[in-house]
Amino acid sequence: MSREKKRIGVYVCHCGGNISNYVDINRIIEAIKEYPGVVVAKDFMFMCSDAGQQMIIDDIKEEKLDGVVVAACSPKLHEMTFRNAVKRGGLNEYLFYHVNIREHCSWAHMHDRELATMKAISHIISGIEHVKLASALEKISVKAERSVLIIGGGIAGLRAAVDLATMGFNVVIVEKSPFVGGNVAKWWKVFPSGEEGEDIVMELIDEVKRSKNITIITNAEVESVEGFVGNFDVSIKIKPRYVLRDHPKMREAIEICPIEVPNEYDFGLTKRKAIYYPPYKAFYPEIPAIDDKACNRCGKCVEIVGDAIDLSQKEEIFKVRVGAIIVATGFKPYEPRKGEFGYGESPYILTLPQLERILSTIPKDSEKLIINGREISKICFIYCVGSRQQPKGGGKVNEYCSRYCCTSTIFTSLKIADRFPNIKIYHLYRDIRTYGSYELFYLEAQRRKMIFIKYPDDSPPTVSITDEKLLVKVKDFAARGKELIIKPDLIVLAVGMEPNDAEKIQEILKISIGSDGFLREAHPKLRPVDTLRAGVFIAGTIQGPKTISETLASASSAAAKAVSLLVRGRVELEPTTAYVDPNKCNLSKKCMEVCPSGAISVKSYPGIGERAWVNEILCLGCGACTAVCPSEAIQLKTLSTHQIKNMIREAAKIWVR
Amino acid sequence: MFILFISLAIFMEDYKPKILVLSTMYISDLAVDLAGLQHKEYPPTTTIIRLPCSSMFRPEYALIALENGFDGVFIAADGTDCPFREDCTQLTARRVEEAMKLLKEHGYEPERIKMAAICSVCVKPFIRLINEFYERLRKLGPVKRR
Repeated sequence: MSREKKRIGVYVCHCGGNISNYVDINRIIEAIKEYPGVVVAKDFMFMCSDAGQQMIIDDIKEEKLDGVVVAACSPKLHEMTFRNAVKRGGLNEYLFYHVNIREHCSWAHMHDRELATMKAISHIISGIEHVKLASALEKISVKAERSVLIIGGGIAGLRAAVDLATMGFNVVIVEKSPFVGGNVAKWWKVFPSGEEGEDIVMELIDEVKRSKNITIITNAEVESVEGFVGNFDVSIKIKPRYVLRDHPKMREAIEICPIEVPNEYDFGLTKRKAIYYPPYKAFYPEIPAIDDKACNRCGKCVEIVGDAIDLSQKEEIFKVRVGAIIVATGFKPYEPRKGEFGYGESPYILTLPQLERILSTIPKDSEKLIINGREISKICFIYCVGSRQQPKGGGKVNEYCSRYCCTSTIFTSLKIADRFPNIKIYHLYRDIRTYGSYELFYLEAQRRKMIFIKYPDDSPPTVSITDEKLLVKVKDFAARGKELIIKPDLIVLAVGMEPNDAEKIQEILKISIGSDGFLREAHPKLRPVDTLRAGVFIAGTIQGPKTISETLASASSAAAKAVSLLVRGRVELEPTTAYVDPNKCNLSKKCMEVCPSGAISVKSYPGIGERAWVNEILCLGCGACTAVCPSEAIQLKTLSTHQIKNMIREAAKIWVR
Repeated sequence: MFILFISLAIFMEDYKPKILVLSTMYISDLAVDLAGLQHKEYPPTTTIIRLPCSSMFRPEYALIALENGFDGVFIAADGTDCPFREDCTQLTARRVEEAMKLLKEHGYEPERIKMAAICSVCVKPFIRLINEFYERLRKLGPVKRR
C-alpha cells in the first residue's frame, strides 16, 4: 500500500489538563487534520479511558482506518493499552504508533506554550509518517520453559518459590550466602503480630522442604544470563562449602576451629569461627559452612568429622534454562559512618538491627536488660539515620524514607517496655510515619508515657561520649528549638534500608535502577513487579523499602505474574526483528560483523543465490545491522530506515514553516 | 548598514536552534521521560525520535535532518547500559564519525552532531548536555542550506 493511501486516525489526549494546559490542542488539530493521509483528527480529555478507547475502535470500523496515532503520555505507560484497543477494533496492532507529548513535551516545557505546541506537532507528524510505512505483523510464538529462577533466598525468594512450586512450576533458588533465611531470621519480635523473625522464616523453610520441585543452591551467584523470555540460559557459580554433610560431632569440630572473625549474622557484635552455623535457628541447609576467606586449612575440623568435610572442594559452574527470573536480593541495613551519632565510638551506641540481635538472645527469665555489662534504664532512639538525607556536596545520599523504621522502632520499644517496664524510653524523630493501622502502636507508645521529641530537619541531635557516658543534645522543634539534654545508657539508631547488589543485578540482567539505587519496576501503579525486560520480575525490598507484609505480598504477586507468563508453555515475542530483502542484498556481510547475537548467516535463496539471512529467534532487534548495510537490504520490521528518514524529514519541515 | 547590523543582532538573539534528539527505547528515552516527570526544562525546539539502540543510527539521518530544517542532531546513546551489546558506544561512535564526514562533504559543520551516553536516570547530564549543545548551535548560527 502506498504511503499516501493509508487512512490514518490521529487522537490527541488532554490528559485532564496535564497536556492541554501547556500546549494548544486546537492548533495541533488544525495543523494535522489536513495532513496527507489523515482522515480523522480528534482530541479527548482522557484517551486511555474506556470512552477514549471506544472512540478509536468505532473510528477504525466506521472510517475504515488502517493506521492509528495516539499522542498522549509516555509509551511506557499506555502503549499496550492503545495497542489492545486497536486490536479490538480489528486492526493489526503494529499499524499503531504512540507519540509522547506529555513527558517529552507539555511537562518539560511548561513556560513556552508556543514552542511546546510546535514540538508536539513535530512529534505527531513523525508518528504519522511512521504509521504510513508500518506493516501488519504477527508476534513470534516460541516454546517457554515452565521453570523460574529466583535470585535471593530471603523471605521474598522463599515465598515466591513456595507459591510457584504449588502451581506446579520448577524453581531454582540461588542464594549468595551459605544459608537461606535472609534478614528476617535475625529479627526479634516483628510488627504487627509480634512473632519472632526466625519463626516466620522457619515456617517458610518448612514449606520449601515439603515441596518437591524447589532446588536450592547456596553459596552461589548468578554469573550470566543469556537468551530471552521463556528461554533464559543462566550460568551459576557455586563456591565451595567444604562441608559435605552433617556429622554427630559437628559442634565439636566448630568448637576446635582456631579462627575467629566478626559475625556478619550479628552485624559484627559477636565473633564466629571459620566453620560456622548462623546464630539463629531459621536457616537451610542444616549443615555448617566453611568461610573460604577466613579458613587457614589447618584441618583440625577434618580430624574430628573426617570425610564429612572436604577441603579440596572446588568452585563449580551450574547451568540451567528457565522461563522467567524473579530478583529478590533484598536490602542491607544502612551502616552509619564512624562517628555518625557516635556510631562505632561506644559499645552503647547501636543500630536497630544490632539491638534486635541482642534482644533475641537475652535469656527468657532475665529481669534486667544488660548490654555489654551495663544495666540499661534509659534508651534513646534516634530516627531517620541513613534515610531522608539532605543532599549536600556532591556525594550520593539516601533521599528516600525507608518506610519500616518508624513502626519497627516504636514496636520494638513497646516490646521492650513489656519485658522491662522500668526502662525509660526517648524517641528523637523528624516525623513519625506509622501509616495505616500501625498508628495504633504510636498511640500506645504515647499512652505509656514514652517521650517523643521532634528535632528540626536541618539540625539533628548531637551525641558526645565522656568516659563511656553518653550525652545527647537535641533541639525540641515543638519548643521553638529549645535545647534539651538527655543522658541515656543506650543510644539506638533507627537505620534505613539500602539496596543489596542492585548494581550487580543491573549489570547481569540489564534492567534499570531508579535514582534511589533500588531496582525499578516497569510502572509504579500498573506493573509494580514487572521490569522493562520481559520475563524478569522483582520482589521485596530490592525494589524499595518495604515491611515484611509488603514484601510477601510483592513476592506472591511476582510468582503469579511469572506463572501467567509461562503457564501456556509458549511465550509471544515482539516481532522487533530484522529481515533481509534478498533482491537488494549484495552480500557485503557488514551486518554479520555488527550483529551482537550471531543471528545473521548466509543462506541460499531459490532463484536468487546466496544472500544474508536473519534467524529471528536469535535476533535481539537492536537495528545495528540496518545502520551499516550499503544497500539498505536489511531492515527492522517495526522501524525501517525509510520510516526513520521520513519521520526526520517531515518533523524537520515543521520547524521551518 | 547600522540598521542591518541591529536587525542581524536581534535576529541572532531570537535564533532558536532546532535539534533532532535520537533517544533509545530502553535507556535514554527513560531519562528524557524522567526529565519531563520532574518538570526539568530544556529547549523546546527539540524533536525526539526513539530508536531501539543508538547503534541503529545511520549517517544519512544527520544529513536529512540538517537539509530539511534541523540545526543539529543530538544522539542520546545507550552507553554501557545498552541491553543489546557491550560495544554499543564504540559502534555508535563509528557511525557518528562517518556522519561528521558526510556533513563536511556536504558543506555543513561536523560540530552539528553530538553524541552522549545518557543512562536511564541521567536527567541532570541530559539537561546539561542538551543545553550546552543548544548554546554551541546558537554560536554556529542557522544552517546555510543550498
